[in-house]
Amino acid sequence: MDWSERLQQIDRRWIYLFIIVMVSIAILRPLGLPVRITDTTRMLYDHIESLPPGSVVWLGMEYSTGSIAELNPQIIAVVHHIFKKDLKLIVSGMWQDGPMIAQGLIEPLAEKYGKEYGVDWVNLGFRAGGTPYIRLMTEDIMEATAGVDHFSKPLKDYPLMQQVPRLTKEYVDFIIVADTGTPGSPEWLAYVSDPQGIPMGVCIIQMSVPGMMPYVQAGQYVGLVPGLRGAAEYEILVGETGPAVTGTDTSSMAAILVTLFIILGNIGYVMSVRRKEQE
Amino acid sequence: MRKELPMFITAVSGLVVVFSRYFQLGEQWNLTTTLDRWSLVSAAFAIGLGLGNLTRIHYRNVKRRREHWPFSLYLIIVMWAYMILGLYQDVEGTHFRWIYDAVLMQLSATIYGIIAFYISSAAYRAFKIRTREAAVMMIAAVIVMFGVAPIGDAIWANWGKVSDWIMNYLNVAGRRGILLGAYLGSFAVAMRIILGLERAHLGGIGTGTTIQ
Repeated sequence: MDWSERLQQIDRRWIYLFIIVMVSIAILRPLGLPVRITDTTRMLYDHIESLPPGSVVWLGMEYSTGSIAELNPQIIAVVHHIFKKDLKLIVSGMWQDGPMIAQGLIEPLAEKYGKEYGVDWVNLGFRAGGTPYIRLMTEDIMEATAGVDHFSKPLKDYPLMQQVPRLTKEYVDFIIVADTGTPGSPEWLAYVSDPQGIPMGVCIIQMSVPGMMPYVQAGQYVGLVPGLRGAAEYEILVGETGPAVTGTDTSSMAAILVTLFIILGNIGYVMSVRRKEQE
Repeated sequence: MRKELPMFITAVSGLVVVFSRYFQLGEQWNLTTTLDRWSLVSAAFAIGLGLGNLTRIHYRNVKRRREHWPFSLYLIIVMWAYMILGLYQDVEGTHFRWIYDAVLMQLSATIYGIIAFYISSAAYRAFKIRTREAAVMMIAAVIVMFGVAPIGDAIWANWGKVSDWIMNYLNVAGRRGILLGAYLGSFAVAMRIILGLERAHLGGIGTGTTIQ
């Protein structure tokens, strides 16, 4: 095997090894590279910043445990902002994992900011049904949720839910949807946000960003937090730097490594083409 | 009757939703809300049905000692044990929550994380400048990849702007075209389903075929 072939056929195990070494270095010894705040993240931040204290923010948790590495830091940063601004928070989920994940993330933050469950925030839990569920909440939250929350406790006992009988513009000021698939933010847009005229923003994994950009440009999403980088940006904006800022260094390392391998593969390819031409 | 009844229900439900959306009278009658209520109840039943069906299938695998039957047994035990624990403790019960956090969450995140290794290996093999189109795709991918990672801005201050331009113009233009095509296609499929021309949603009965 000559060099042109060697460069094109590097054993994938070497690639895996280099990736794990480089990512580990970035985690153990962060580079601390500055993170530029993208426009879409700032738009979401500015919108939440503009809400007056006491406004109700609805958080649609439409993702499963596979995406926690990217989406959990986003939710933590956004909830920091919500509680700092003294906004009310209602959580729901069309995905069964969403409200479970939310409970684990929000509970410690609520404790930190002295927020009382039922008064300042409520977790409605998972309900089967997908889009009919969120649509029915625009008519009657009690009926759509069978009148109970994530813990099967009656919603009528919570002051926050007494204030918010329906998912309409009259009662809800902003919707944030964290999603990785269907049903997700496009369903929230089509069945709740657009018909009810409630502004909406999204927290999504980096892979979903290209698909969501048309909605941002059309003004249907007032902002978008893109992947782990977006989480880092939001952490910086809200002044609560955490795991996402360190995590972005891993993406820098991975980008360098992948590009190096792509270059090596292409050098090998060009060498083999030239050799064939000479022959 | 096995074909006609589901097709009739589908057609009536579809027409009700269309009528409710596009006519004021339909909105006044609030027919979609009634359908939504039925849909929620059906979805809740479907979960129970799924549980029963899954148990039945895997019980048969175990009983007949089919290939990989120990996995079927494992699935039945884990599924029922976790469900009973959840019913006994509630969803935020100590043990229920611990299993969720320590097992399910970690395993799912790990499996998703492994994708990074496969993507790296796939990028190395796929991004070859065999044609001009492939070269353009490779260059765009590298620009966006470095634009997303902070290293791009560290190398060149305008890297992020170039990456954003690709995402905001080239990407959005293409995406809009795809979305419009997909929505028109969805509309056509919806009409075919309502009219009974498409029967794939009926499962085994004439899957994906049209009535001649």
